[in-house]
Parts: sequence; structure tokens; C-alpha cells
Amino acid sequence: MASCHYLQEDFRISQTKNKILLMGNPNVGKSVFFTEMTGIHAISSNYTGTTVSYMEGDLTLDEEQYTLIDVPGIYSMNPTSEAEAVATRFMESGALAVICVLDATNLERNLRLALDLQKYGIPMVYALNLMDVACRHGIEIDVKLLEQELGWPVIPTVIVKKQGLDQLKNALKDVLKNTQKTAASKLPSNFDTKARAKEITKKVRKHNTAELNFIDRLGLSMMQPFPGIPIAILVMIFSIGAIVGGGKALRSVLLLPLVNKVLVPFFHSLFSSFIPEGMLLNILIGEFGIFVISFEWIIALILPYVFLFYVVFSFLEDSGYLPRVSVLFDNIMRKLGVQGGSLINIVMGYGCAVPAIIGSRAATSRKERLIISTAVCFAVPCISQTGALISLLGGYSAWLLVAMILFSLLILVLATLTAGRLIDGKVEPLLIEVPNLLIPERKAYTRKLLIRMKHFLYEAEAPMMLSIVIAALLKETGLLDAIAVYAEPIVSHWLGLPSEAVIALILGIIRREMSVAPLLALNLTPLQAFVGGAVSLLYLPCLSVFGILTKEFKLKVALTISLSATLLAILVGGLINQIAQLFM
Amino acid sequence: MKANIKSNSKYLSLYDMQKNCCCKVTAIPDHPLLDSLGISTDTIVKVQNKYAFGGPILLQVDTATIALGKDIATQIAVKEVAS
Repeated sequence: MASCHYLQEDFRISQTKNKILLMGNPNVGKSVFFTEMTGIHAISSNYTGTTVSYMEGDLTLDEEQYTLIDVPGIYSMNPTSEAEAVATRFMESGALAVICVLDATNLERNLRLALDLQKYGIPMVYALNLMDVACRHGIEIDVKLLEQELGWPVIPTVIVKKQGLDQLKNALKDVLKNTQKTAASKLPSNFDTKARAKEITKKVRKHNTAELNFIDRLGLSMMQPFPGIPIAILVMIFSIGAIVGGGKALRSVLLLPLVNKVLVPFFHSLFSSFIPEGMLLNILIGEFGIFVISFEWIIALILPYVFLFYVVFSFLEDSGYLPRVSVLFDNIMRKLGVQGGSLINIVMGYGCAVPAIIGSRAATSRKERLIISTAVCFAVPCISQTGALISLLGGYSAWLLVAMILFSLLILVLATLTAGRLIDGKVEPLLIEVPNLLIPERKAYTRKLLIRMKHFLYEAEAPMMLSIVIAALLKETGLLDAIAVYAEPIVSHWLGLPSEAVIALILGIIRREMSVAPLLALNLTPLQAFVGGAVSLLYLPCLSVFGILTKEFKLKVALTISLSATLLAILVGGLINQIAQLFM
Repeated sequence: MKANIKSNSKYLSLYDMQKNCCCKVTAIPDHPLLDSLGISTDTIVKVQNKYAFGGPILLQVDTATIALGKDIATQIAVKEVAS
């Protein structure tokens, strides 16, 4: 049984029996070890700070059950951050053994933590990971000697290819059996691990000058302004092209025919065979019936874009490209009041705001977290909403879509600048380790993609279905027409939209894409479509985002962001309409 | 040891260094992550790149590549050494 826990819930730590801890520096591959050893899918990526909460899962060794805990990545056992404080408490909570994952490409720094952990008197096994990359970089490590120096087993691994996994499990079994060794090898608490790490590294590591291969050279070039910036622009154009173009192609070639020619007619004939014509039949399979719009919206409108976004994003994430972009654009981000690292969270927000807001925990100050969250809520459409916006605006002209992209970027800049001005506190400067550029390993990548799609369906299905049922009931019972009369002053007179568009504002409270999807059927003019899109972009973040804002910050923050975004949506949408009317 | 920029007129900050320069860190500000990432007094670092318009400085520290924002790089005192 697997579960994921937020850091605050660590009171449970001491109660868990038979614990084995999985520890190491950030970005050394702990999450992949966790997945391989427990069969539970932890999301991993090629930059620091993916595990902002901890995971636990069952591990069976020789028919004995253990709980393996994936502790957030840390650099040291000095509790200077929340993650380090939690790691310290884990170490003091009576674990049976620790698997410490070391990055072979960065031995000295990793050994400091490796030795720090020996101060707790817990049996250790070291996994010397990324051996393939180290080899490529001309780094040779004498593993036998390292084992002698550390006093515990050291297993060389390339975990994404499962190399060394069985040896690691065997070594773990051995240390679990032989517990007498522990007390004798415990290091004193004042032991100088830094000096010792340096000494060991000198002894065991030989660094030959290796000819850089294409990937390494590309990794370096990507961080030079030239060709780094042109590459970044190309990556962006290619990513948008793949998502928008690929999504449209999937939709028109595969999904729309599937929905319109197979699914909808099937349910139509099924329900018509035993339900007489009337309101009930309409609610089920009328123009806005549950079994019509749920297929049209979820399968044909949202899924292709969500899928393609994660295809592209997971690739960029696993390759280690995103931190390079953070470095390249740190100067621009600084002018906006945040540091380059925030860019990763903002890009993540184009998938979904919830992980973007949770991921911002890795940001060093509360001010930065709040700025990122505000920017994502105001100006970054989630991928489902983007899919709906593409269908709405792309239907008129590609220029309308480009105008919307520029509009959203303008709002992003303004929201970031304004939040930076209004929120007290300090933003810390950029301070990151740039990971090796890697070609994502096929299996790990596919698995991650599947987990992400599963999460999406699991998380989004209920609220999507709820909006669809509400939409069907409002429309097919005629209730919508009654509500539309009251909303007319805002929806029709100020925003210039047909009065039925009020349904978008009602459904948009639940899910962001639902503030666009109903507009597709309204035969809007290009101006109306743009106004509708602009309102939807700025409008209330969805219920899940509201929930996560309340959880991560306070109800007050969630209410402030949501209300100001909604008011701005109505204000800006109306202004666009009113100003455009003057010229028409 | 904390860098004191104002009192030392000969102070050379890491951010003053140019691309491909090697230098030895002589003082660092009090920031927990610096030491964790392997940047402490006496560490030798090589400047891989420096970005215009107040951008960061990219360093090679041992075998790792570390990016430091301007605000922190200007607070690190260094002494140039032969590469």
C-alpha cells in the first residue's frame, strides 16, 4: 500500500515499524530507486526538489516486510531547511537501515552527506548511482577502496537501467542481518565530514580528461546566450507546435469521429430505445446531454492536449533542460521580481496550477511562493483550458490565438510585477546546481507519462463530470434561460456575449476549461470569442486550485487571489469589448 | 567568515570575474546552500559563463555546474588563481 504524505504529517514517522530510509542529495535518482524497489510510482525529474513531500511503500526482502521511505533530497544534516529538519527527524525515529544514494559524478559533496548519516549509528548501504554518466565524463571511482573507506557496502548502479538493483537488495539484506557492526562504526557527532569527504575523494577518484560527447556539448551550448536563446525559442515553438498541431490532428482525425460517429450515436440509440422523448432523454443525450458533452469535452477537447502537454513537459523535465532555461532567463525574471528558478514552476503551471503551487515549496522565500502562485492563477491557463482556448480561438484564425498568447504573457508580466510590489519580504537570488543533460530513459519516461495521465483522470474526472451534469441540467431544464436574464447586464451589456454564456461563468468555478467549453457551441463572433477567452483566462482558478491555495497559504490568500482575478476578468473582458466596439 | 565588501577596497567579488577565469573563494556570505553546494572558503571555482543584464554567473565547482544569482555572487570574495 503506497501513500504520499506532506511534510507536516511527520508525526507518523516514529510510529512506522520496520523502516528503511532512502536518502541522498537532491537529483541523484532516489525516486527511481523507490519505484524500482517498491513498484510504486514516484514522480521523478532531472532537477532538484521533486520530492517535496515524502513517499512510503512496501519493500519485501526474503519474505520480510519493510516500509521504504523516500526522504526528500538534502545536502546535509544541518537542519537549515524544512526538508533537512524532516530528514533529521527520520534519522532519529528508529530506522532499521538507510540506503544512501550517491551521485558518482559529484562524489565529494555526496560523501559529506554519506558520512553525516554515519553519525546516527544506523546500518548503511550506499548506491553509487549515475555510473554511466561518470564514466562518460572520464571519472573513474575505485569502488572497493570507497567501500573500505566508508566501512559499509557500496554498490555501483545505473538505476534507470536497473543495473545494480539486485546487488543493492542483497547488500541490504546482509546489513539487516548483521546489526552488531553498527555501534562500532558510528561516527562522533563533531566529526569533520567535509575534510574526510575531500580526503576519501582524493583517494578513490581519478578524473581523466574525457572528450565531451554530443549531449554534453549540447548541454553546455544550451547555457550560452548564443546558441542557448535561439535554442530556447526553437524548443518553445516546437513544444507549442507539437501540442497545438498534434492536439488538433488527434482531435480531427481520431477523436471527433470516434465521439460523433461511434460513442454519441451508440448512447443515443441505447437510451432512445427505452426512455420516452422528454426532459430526461434530453438531459442524457440532448444537445447538451450528459452523454454528449462528456464525450465531446473530455475525450475530444481536453484529453489530446493534456496528453501531448505531458509528452513534451515530461521530456523536457527528464532531460534536465528546464534548469538551463532558468539560468538563461534569470536576468529577465529578476527584473520581474523573481529568480530564474521560478520559471520551472510557471511552466509547470501550464499543465496544472496545483503541482505548480505545491512545487513552489522548493522556492526559498514565502514572497517568491506567493508571487509564483499569483502569476500562475492569474495568467497561466492550465492545459485543459489551453486545449479549449485553442479550439475556441483557432477556429476563427491563428492570429486570434497569437493575440491571446500575447495577452496572457502581458498579464503574466503585470501580475508578477504587481504581486512583487504588494507582497512584503525578500526574493532570494538564484542558487542552483545545473544537472547533467540526459536523454530520458524510455521506460522511466513512459511510466511517468502514464502516472501523470492517471493522476489527471483520477483528479479531474469527478469535477469534470460534476460540471457536465450541472451544464446538462441547467441547459436542458430551461433553468439557464432564467439565470441568464439576471446576468444580462454583465454578460451581454458589459462583456458583449450572448446571455447563455453565463453558463461558462457558472461552470468555470468548478474547472477552468469549463469556462471555455460551453462557448464553443454559441456561434460567437471573433471579438466575442476573444472576450470570452480573456475572461476565462483571468477568471477564478478552479476549485482544486482554491483548495491548494488555502492549504499551502491561508484562506485569506485563496480568497484574495480568486476574487481579484475574477473582478479583473470581468473588468478587462468588458474593457476589451467596449474599446473594440468604439472602432467597429 | 563573512565577506565585508565596504571595508576592503581591494575586494574582488566573484561577480567581477570574467569567463574562463579560475579563482579561489576567500570569504562567503552566510547562506546555508552555498556550503552545501560545495562553495566555501578555499574552494577553487572556474567561471564558465557570465550573463548580461544582471544575469547569474555559471561556475564549475569540482565536477558540478552551479549557477549563482548576481545578488549572491557579488557577496563572495575571491582571489584569482592560475587555471
